[in-house]
Amino acid sequence: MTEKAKTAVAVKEGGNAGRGGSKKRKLRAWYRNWQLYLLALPALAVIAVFCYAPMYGIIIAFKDYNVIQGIGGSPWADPLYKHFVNFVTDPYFWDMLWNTLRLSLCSLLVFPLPIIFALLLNEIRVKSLRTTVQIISYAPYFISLVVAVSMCFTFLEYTQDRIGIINRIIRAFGMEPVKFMESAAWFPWIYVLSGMWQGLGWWSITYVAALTAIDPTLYEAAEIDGASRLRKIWHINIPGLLPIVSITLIMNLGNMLNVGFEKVLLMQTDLNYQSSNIISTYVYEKTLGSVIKQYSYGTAIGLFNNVINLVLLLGANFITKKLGGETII
Amino acid sequence: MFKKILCLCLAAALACGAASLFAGCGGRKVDYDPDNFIADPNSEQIVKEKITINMFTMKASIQGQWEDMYLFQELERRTNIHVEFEEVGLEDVAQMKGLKWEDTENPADAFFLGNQPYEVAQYSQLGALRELSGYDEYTGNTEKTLLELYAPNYSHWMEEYPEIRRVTTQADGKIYVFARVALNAEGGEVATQYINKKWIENLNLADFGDTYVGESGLPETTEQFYNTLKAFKEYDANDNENTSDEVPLIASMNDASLNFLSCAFGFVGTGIEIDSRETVLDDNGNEIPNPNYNKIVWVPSTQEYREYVQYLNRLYTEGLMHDGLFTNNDTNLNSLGIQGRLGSFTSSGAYFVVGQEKDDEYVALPPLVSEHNNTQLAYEYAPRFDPTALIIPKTTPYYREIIRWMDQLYALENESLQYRGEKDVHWREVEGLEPTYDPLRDEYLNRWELIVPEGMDEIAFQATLTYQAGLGNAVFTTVDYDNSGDPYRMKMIEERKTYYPYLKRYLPQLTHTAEELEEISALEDSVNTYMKNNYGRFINGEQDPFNDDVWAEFLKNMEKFRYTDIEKKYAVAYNRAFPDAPCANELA
Amino acid sequence: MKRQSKGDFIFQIAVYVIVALLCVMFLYPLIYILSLSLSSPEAVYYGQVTFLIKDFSLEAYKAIAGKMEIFTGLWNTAKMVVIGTVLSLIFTFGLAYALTRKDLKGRRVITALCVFTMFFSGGLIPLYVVVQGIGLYNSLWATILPMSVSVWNVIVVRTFISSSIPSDLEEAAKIDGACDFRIYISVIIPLCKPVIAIMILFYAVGYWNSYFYPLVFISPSNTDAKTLQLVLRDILLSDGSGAIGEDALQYKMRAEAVKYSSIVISTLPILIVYPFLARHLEKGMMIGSVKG
Repeated sequence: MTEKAKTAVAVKEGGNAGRGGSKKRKLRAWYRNWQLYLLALPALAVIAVFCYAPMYGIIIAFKDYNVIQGIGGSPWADPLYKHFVNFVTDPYFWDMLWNTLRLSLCSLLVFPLPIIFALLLNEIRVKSLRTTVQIISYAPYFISLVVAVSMCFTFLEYTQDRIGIINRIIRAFGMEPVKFMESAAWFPWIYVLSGMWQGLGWWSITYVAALTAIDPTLYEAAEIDGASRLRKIWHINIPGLLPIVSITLIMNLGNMLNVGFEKVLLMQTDLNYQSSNIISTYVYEKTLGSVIKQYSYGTAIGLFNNVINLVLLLGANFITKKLGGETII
Repeated sequence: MFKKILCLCLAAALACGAASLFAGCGGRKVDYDPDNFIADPNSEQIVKEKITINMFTMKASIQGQWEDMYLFQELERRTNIHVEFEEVGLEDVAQMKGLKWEDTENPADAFFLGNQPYEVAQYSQLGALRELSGYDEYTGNTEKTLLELYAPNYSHWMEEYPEIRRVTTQADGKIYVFARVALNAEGGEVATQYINKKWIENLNLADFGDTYVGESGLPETTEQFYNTLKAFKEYDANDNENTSDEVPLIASMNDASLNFLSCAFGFVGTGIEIDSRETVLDDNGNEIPNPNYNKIVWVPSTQEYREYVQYLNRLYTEGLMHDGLFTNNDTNLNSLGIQGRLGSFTSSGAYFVVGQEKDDEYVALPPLVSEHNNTQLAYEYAPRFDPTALIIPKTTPYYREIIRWMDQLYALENESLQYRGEKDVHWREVEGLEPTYDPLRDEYLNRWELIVPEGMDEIAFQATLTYQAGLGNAVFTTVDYDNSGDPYRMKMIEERKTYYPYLKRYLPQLTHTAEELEEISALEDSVNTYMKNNYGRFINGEQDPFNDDVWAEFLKNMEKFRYTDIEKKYAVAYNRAFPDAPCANELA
Repeated sequence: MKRQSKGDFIFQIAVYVIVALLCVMFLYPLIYILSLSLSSPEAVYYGQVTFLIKDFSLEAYKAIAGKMEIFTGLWNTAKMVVIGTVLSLIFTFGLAYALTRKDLKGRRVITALCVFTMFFSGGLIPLYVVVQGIGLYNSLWATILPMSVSVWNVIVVRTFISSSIPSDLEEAAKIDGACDFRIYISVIIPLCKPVIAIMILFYAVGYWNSYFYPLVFISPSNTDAKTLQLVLRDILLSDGSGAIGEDALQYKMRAEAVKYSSIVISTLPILIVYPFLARHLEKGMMIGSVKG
């Protein structure tokens, strides 16, 4: 074969590769990694079935769903947005929205506590002591929800012949005992503080980790400047925590309306209903917890909730971006 | 970027959804031989060759397998039908029933007990139920309905008591469901309000004119009751030299223990109810005709309810009522009862709460009257005819067999089987006790007792005989089977009779369409929740029921929950059921 | 150590005092419950226990021995934890590793699809309908599978692998002719030990304490499939059952005491195991905190 012919063949091959061959190569790239896809497959299947298939089920919100006819067979709602209108005009709508937001806002109020706790831990110089405190502080996190709630009921109990430990303490200080679990005003605080008792140590782990990652030369420089420990915290530790704080904050904001129903449901009593009636418990109450299950209505409320969450999340993300902080997307 | 993700997500979602969801409607292939069925109602045997029928039902926790129960084995022996029960615990019947309906591979041939009105309405409207007032498709006979042909016993009772037909007829005018028939039912399940008679005597309350008690020696009005409770609280009623350990009244929001007090003000409950009082009292105590007679009302919107709540508020805030009202469970009730600290409480039998020793200190308190209400009322739990006993899905070919099988349970001679098994095998008569007269059979019935094997308790033994044990009334009952010789039990039944003349249910049984029920339930749930949460706050004084502004606000909010619509919907159904005697509601 | 200024000294003292108070706060309820469970039922019932054991008695633990449902619950939960954790590890690491490979086609799309589920879901009812539709209702799988993959954990693992395992190692293995499975099994997994420990902890605790899925997907009367948390709810938060007559008070007292012994029994296993895993926690969280 002459030099010229060789070149021609090469060109031809190259041309091929550039057109029909590229498809083949793409296919080959998919095929070459089949083992990787296989590795990922189980997890993807789970996500498809338990996250995406339910998204298909969202059309229940636009139908008058009944069990016998199933998703496909049930008639469409008339008008399509019927259940959404019902929700927005539900007399409980604003109450629920506010109650849900209030729980989130109360949670936001105590949001700095784990940060402060992490800063405190960071100030314990004796390593073994610090580890002990940390291990103790994680312990409540491993108490299950049911147990934690029943502890609330036990500790806060107060009737004329039974009195819980907290009320005994209150009485010891000469104050009037309170029927905590029968009080709408106390409910958000009991909810948040019991959560904080469980989570304080656990949530601080992230911040402790972030603090250990701070460049030690910064402290040395501060030392030379003769800065006090409080100043060091203010000028080095807190700025060091900011990125992680902003991410956590965005996540929290995005979950403002996502207050899980399990704990609230366990804590709900007739008398605190006024402030413990939140969107997710309402969905449960109207559907799985009821004799006549309003599936479509429940789905519509759930969808409404999720969409608002998404908007809040994107909004929070957008604002942080504008402010130049860490973002998630 | 985000838009892209969203598109992808939706695409993926649809794909996955379509792939993984599903429940198509598969038909079931059964080899059914119509000639195997014996149509003759005089033959106990129902099929020539033994068949197996799958029945969905609910069971109480003390029960074992239903197939092992004497009653069903006996029925199998007689009818040649083997019934395979799928028993589901009481708490989640509704949920599991939904699943069973979706189960196309192994569908139920019938649903026995606990078929809620909504289920019957919904499934019948979707055409999923066999119409009992329809015809036999195998013979093509269109002269007689299935019930007439194959359920002679049940048809007999239906003729005798037209109410049965009325409560089972759906809005479309057809019958799909068997009713539970209780001809004895003067409220088998009555909660008795007990009061400590000994305390009243200890304090000599009868010596103070009508301040504390009436002529009967017991409080007769709400004011007397209040004063009595107050005396219990202030003095050493239980004679133990401690004036402050008495708990005058204990109740719980979680059960029906407050109904006794609401009755005193004119309504047996706090929901939708028909006002059945012919007369009421005006402000001067004069009897006048009730302006709301026969009107269906949402009770919390009435003046009576306000008076009732005000009364409870007084009891609660003055410490006459145990302050565990909102959290009480029987732990409190029992421990206080055993210690002899209770003045008045609600229970079926006093000895359940205070123990046998103190049982005779307590007597049933007859219904009270109040300032504006002079009608004595008591709350009736169970209706006499309850359209819940059995439904048959259209998919089963065995409907004739099932109807005949079911009809066995309505036979007078089989009734006793449903309560106590076979005479002299499972139960025997007890000599020397006064027999009771049964007008239906026109004979005297002796008292009896179960022959309980060694080491077994009575109820557990009964549960091996019949499904009734633990579930309450059987499908068919004509006499009171609480007939044994136990003196405490006898006293309990005797006390219960105090309320028989005054029994009332909220409303007569009505049938609705599925849509009506959905709307009613949605509205009722919401307003009920609102009412309940304010109810508690009125009682504990967090809101003042005496304050007119607060009350007006409460009424206004309830209006937002559209209680008037609920009243109207019930009124429509009521007038459909009783076209000759419509209710007093104005329907535009 | 350097000499401290006066201000720093006071600061140090303040830190110790606050931390000590917090420790009391964390521990007090736990010790209190323990004391309650070991005190005599009378003392518990009449509220005589404030902190330490009063009238030592094992009555409450003896009473619990008769409660089969607790052991059924423990057994179900144990099954759920073991099976669930194993599955979760397989699922999570498989996906996480695949996503670290830059040569994986569609990597970005898959990641986006996964991350999206963290922020948006179909909601309770559609999930319920799906679980019913595929016939999982009332089975152990319904309590395991829906929570078997946590996207957050996948990201943590992915970040760990791509940041702390040098890609040279993979390249070297590839040149030696190892296939993807081999690389995954013999190169990646052995180097993932610390993050495996953390994932075991996360998932196991998640399953152990999970309440939502069992509540929604296990029917209330299905006593055989109830998990520990559901049994606990029945014991702790529902009304006592109707014992009658003179024994009632004794019975009620015991029921009250059983509450605390069942809390202890149900919490003990996890509290015993966790200090051994706790030292890995901080490291794991640090990985997690790196932006995903």
